[in-house]
Amino acid sequence: MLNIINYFRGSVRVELTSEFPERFINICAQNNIALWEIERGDNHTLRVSMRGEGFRKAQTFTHRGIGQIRLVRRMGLPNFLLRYKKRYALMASVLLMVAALTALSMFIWEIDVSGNENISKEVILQELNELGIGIGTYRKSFKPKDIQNQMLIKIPELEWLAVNVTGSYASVEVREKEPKPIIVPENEPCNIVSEKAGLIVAINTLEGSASVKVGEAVEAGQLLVSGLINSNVVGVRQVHAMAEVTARTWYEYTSVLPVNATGKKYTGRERTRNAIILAGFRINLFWDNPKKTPVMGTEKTVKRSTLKLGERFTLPLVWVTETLTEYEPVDFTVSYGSADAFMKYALGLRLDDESQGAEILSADFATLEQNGVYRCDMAAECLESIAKTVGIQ
Amino acid sequence: MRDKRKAGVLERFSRALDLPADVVAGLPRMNIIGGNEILIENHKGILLYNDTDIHVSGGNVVLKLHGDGMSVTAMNATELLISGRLLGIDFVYV
Repeated sequence: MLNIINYFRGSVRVELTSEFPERFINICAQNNIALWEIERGDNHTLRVSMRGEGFRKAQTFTHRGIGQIRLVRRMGLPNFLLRYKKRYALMASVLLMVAALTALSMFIWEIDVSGNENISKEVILQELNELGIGIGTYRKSFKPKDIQNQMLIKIPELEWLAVNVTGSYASVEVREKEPKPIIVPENEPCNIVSEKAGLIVAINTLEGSASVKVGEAVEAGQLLVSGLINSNVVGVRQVHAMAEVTARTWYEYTSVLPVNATGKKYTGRERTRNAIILAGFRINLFWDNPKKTPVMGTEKTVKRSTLKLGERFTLPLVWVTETLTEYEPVDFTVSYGSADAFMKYALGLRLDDESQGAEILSADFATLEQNGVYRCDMAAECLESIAKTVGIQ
Repeated sequence: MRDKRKAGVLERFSRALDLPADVVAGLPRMNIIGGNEILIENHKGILLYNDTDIHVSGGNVVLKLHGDGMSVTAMNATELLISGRLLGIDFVYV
């Protein structure tokens, strides 16, 4: 630690030559000249470190005939700065750089959106832009709490939004609203209706009066268990109907795929071009001849790298690398096997998504080629619960 | 002579009242850390300095430190920091 302090304060290394060098250093100490790293040379020589003003004071002692003092070297930051005192341009550049970094850190140069599933990032950024938050916005020009409230009004699908600004980086976290299921309270009377069309295979009534039997076909919305119970003693009374109703349900989907398609055959030639985006303004580092039209097709891949200092200090400089890969359009025929496999996979995914955890008993696929397209029809049979609670109206 | 008498009186005075003698009478205080570092406060100067022996004046006592690789790390008007492998200390009363 002392070495660091001495570096910033500056020091000198001197050589004392005297008949009695101990006397010399005693006189220095008594005159409040701090000494350190005292090394013995020969019997009449000592090397010590001291501060610059101490050296000037020690030089006056030599006039008393005590000994001689010689400067060996200067050390520390003041000596370093002294060497560059005539380098005005260098000093100005350093100051300008520090000022520029300080000023640039007051603006937002990177915005990241997280937590969104159905609402696209571009929509959220567009709405933020309309509220005055975007690349290059001054950090202190808005209050995150006000932005939160205004964004929830602008995008009703959002349940919650937070804007956190750290350095030049703004993080926008969102939570989307989930549709709430309609739940009838247990102390309110209700009926049980069918959610989907199907064939009843099991019905277990816990409360209420069953309107259907096992083996009966029902349609969507049909009453399964009624919450109105007719009693000879008290007449009609209303209850909160409860039952487990299991039914066979059927799903039918169709998928089509053209027999002839156009694909890409890469020629192997590719070109790279770069650009810089400085504070939102793009500067191309290439020049394309506008009169030259490409013969082949070109596929463009864009890679952006934002210049950062550390984790959160983003600079307003984005390096863009575009890779243009040349390809030749090629017509080809999709094989029956490939089309069949692809369509079965796609229909299977759709069935999983829409049946919502139902037990799939069977799924039959039929793929045909007709009029230049492949057509795949799927018929699936499932076993699932179809009971849905609705209030009595 | 008079200073020596005054120093002796102050020393006896500080002992009698249980006051710190290094503060009241200016007696030297020595802190030895391990066998490698010695801090001497209230010193009156270095009398001899080389790699194996360092003699320090403490007023009415001379502290003779001997060891290997002895050197003065830092020094000012009242404090002296010596480093090295200390082998022994002798006290010589003047």
